[in-house]
Amino acid sequence: MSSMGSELAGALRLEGLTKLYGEHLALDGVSLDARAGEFVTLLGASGSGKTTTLRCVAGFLKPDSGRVFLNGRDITGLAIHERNIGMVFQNYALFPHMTAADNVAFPLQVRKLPRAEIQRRVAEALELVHLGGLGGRYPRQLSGGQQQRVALARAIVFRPPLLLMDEPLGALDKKLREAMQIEITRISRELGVTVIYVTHDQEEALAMSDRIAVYHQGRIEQLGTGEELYEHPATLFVASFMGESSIFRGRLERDLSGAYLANERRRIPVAEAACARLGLRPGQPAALVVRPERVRVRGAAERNGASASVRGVLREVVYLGSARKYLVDLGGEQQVLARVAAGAEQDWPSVGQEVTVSWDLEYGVLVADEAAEGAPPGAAAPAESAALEASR
Amino acid sequence: MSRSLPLKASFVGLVGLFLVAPTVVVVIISFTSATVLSFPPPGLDTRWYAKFFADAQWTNATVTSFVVGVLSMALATTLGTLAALGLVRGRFPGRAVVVALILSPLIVPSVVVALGMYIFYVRVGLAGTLPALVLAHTALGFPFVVVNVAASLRTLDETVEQAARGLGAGPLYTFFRVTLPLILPGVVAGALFAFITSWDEVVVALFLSTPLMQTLPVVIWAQVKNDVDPTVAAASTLVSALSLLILCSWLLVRSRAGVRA
Repeated sequence: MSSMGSELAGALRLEGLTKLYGEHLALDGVSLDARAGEFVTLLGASGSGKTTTLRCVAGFLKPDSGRVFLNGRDITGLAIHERNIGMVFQNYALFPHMTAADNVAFPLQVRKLPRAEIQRRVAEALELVHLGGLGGRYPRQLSGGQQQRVALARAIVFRPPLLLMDEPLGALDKKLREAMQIEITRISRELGVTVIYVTHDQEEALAMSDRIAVYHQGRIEQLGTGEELYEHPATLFVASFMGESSIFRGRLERDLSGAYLANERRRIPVAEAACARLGLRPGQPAALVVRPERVRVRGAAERNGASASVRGVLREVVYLGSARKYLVDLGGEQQVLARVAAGAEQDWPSVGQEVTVSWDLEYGVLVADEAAEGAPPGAAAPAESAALEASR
Repeated sequence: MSRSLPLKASFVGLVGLFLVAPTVVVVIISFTSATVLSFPPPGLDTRWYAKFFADAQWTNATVTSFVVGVLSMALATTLGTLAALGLVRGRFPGRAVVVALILSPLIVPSVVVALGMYIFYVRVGLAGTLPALVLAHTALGFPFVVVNVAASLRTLDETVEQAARGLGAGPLYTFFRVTLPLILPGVVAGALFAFITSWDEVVVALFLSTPLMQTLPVVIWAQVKNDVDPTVAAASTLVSALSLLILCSWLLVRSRAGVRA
């Protein structure tokens, strides 16, 4: 840890935060634990409650109920300026009448540090964000990325135990955004500061976070590492929100040969272990989620006890350079998405051909199917509708 | 379009002439060599300015006008800025009523305002005193400050103030280090308007003045009625000159603020 480091990285604990805006329940019992030094991202669509959570932590909003603890201390009732939390805003919120150096010096001047100490720390912070030499410029003389760096330096220069970032890269173009992702991760690691990061960009969340909290309708749907969320989504919402997937909906069945997800059209074998892990019983509605990179597409039929396979017609092939994307139509609005890495051994089927899609049972992820949950926008494959025509 | 341009230009010229001609005439008369107010002057002379600065009645009135102007400007600017903060940032019932009350001195006929103030200050025993005139002019300048500062506040990004709070600054520190510097153009404009309002105000000043406490416009008014000494023209020119100077400085502030934004 460099000399810039936080004296004390903060452990953040949220207990049952609720916030009502008129009739709209913006936060519906949000609880979260972030360990000291952890990088936690709040991920969700706009209006899902992630920014509201952040504003409750910063003190700009008072939750209607619930409490916020920083290092075990209840800060729910504390005024904004008494919280000692760094914050980076989406629009940077730099002071336009001050130079970059004066912006960074501001929190130190508030804390009445000696002048020499302020100068030293400002220089250090600007150096850390690679802005040494630009301290004399006004915000309007800096590019968007540079302004973002000043905002970051200003938020960390007083060594807060907790750093809040509200979509800080939203206004930057893709290249710069990716560079800043690496930069922000590096700086937060270097300082050892706890970070709560808000974004709606799942790639950004996956690239930067230790853990991700997926928000949906004012609640945290699932909190886990990126890998956990992607490979083992806990709900249908998380499964369809994180990355692309094919989703089958039906009910669980069991016979002598194993467990199945069955609907009016087909029975798809699922892993017994997955049923047991979720505590799902036969007859319960469930959904099966299969990631495209786990799906094989073959011209010939495949029969193998350890895998599930279904027949369909290849509708589309999308060439992506490093991979090919196949869209297989199983009939009745059910589609399966497959992603095959370039160079992978394949008997390349052609569009219109009847094919077999298959995947190893262990990669079929089962989740409970709460009918109340609508498929969010961006779901790759439309879920099978309840009223299906009779299968062929 | 281009064919109608000369027509437009001459129309604008006529309106401009209509607006400034009376002032220009007064300025020219102030340099007359004659002993009566007459136009055009038979010759040029600066003796009326010499007489203005030699006459205690004129110099006392100048000092009074200046003191009243500066004090009422300071009061109106402080109160008006606070009021604007409350009106723009606050959410409370009856906001529209408060706005209407604040703007009322601009709408109510000045002679009515003057009469009301006269009755009030006689009641409280302050009529004819400097404090009464300062307070009365504060009320007149106040709406200009509120309007200008409120306009500045509405263009101020509130997250900048939130950022300051988040960085550890209390409400007062945030106001003086962040909010005030950013709304300063509006505050300065409001202050200058407040000063000019007091500086050339005559109706309320007439009601609240005594022979011992008179502002420049009051003396000008009295002199015009009593005799036709061209010193009045010199005094009027000086009053206008200061107002013009203030107007120019305001335009300068505004253009500098524009460059910065």
